[in-house]
Amino acid sequence: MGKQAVIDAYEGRYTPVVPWVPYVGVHAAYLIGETATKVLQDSDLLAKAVVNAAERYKADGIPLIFDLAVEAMSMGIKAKWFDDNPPTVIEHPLADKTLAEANLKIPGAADGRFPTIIAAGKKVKEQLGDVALIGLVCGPLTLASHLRGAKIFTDMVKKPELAKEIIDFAGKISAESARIYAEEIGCDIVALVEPVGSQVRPDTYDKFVIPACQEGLDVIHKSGKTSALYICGDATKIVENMMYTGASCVCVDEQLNMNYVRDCALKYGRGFGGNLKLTLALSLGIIDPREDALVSLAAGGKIGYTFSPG
Amino acid sequence: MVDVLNTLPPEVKDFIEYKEWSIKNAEGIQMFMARKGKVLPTLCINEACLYESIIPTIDELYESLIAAAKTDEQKQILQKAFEHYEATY
Repeated sequence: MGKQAVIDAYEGRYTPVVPWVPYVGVHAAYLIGETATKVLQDSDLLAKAVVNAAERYKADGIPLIFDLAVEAMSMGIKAKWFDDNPPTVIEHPLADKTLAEANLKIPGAADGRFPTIIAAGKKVKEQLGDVALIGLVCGPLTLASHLRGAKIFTDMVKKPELAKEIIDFAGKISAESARIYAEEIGCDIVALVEPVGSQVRPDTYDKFVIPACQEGLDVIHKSGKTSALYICGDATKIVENMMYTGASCVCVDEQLNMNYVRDCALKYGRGFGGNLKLTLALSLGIIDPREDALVSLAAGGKIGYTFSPG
Repeated sequence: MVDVLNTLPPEVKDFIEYKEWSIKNAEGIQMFMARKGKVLPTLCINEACLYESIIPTIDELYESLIAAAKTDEQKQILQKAFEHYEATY
């Protein structure tokens, strides 16, 4: 068990025992009695929170940080901090400006929040032991929605050239972020996370999102690391599309039918992860978490499957 | 998804009342069940679940709002706003 089991499962291979990856997010801050606002801005506290969470939950793999505002904030875009949640982007610099007018730059390792995250990641790597460290990158479509706002979803229909320009630019930002997690920190797995990816139609996903993911996936693979796509919401309509994006693994939300996800993943030789019911079982207790876990484990099987919250 | 409503002009927002419910509390769960919701997020207009895990384009949103308008005055305001949006987008 441990790091190699997660890598094997994410690469679509058989594992004797299904690995377990809890996405603790800012719950890691709560576990050490600190606020998200404080932990996400302090490398020592962030490292302490992640290592503590990995030990407490006996994780085989754990994300360093689950915060999709990192890239935008590192470009100087305004966000609002919360003590019990990751920050939220509240400014859309491309809402009324072109890329050229906004003069946006791709943030690097020395910019914005990255130095804190890199420092925390290096500390976690030293202390984590046999646990896979996972870097989570804001995916191109989600980042494009940060930059342009909700208009990006209309642009994809009415102004496809503009939408493509913005989403492709966001893809370059995702790629640099992926490079930071893979090369500067040395994460074992790097995932592109697209919470809004499930809210577009399959042909839109194929036309705009898949091409914009390629540079980031190439960066991850060239650095010898394992890639993944994480998606939120009911992504049933695009699960198969995600399987041919080029990422090694697809991790899904609690709303998806794990039998369908498994069948798609096996068809394409991908890893897949999910989908312990985060809301219904873990948060609200409407469903018994133990029974829910057994259902997921039974559906997932032992080929390419990682047990995770959904 | 709710962010798409922020793209509407003030004269339309004046007669639209919108609210976001969280599935993480009892009120949100009751609302989800009352609306016979199937997936999250879902955008409802006048109690009907219209956009289930799909963010509507602004055109689609206008069409749905015009169809759901309760008075001719509301329809006219929406139509005018939609035409202005079409001309300036």
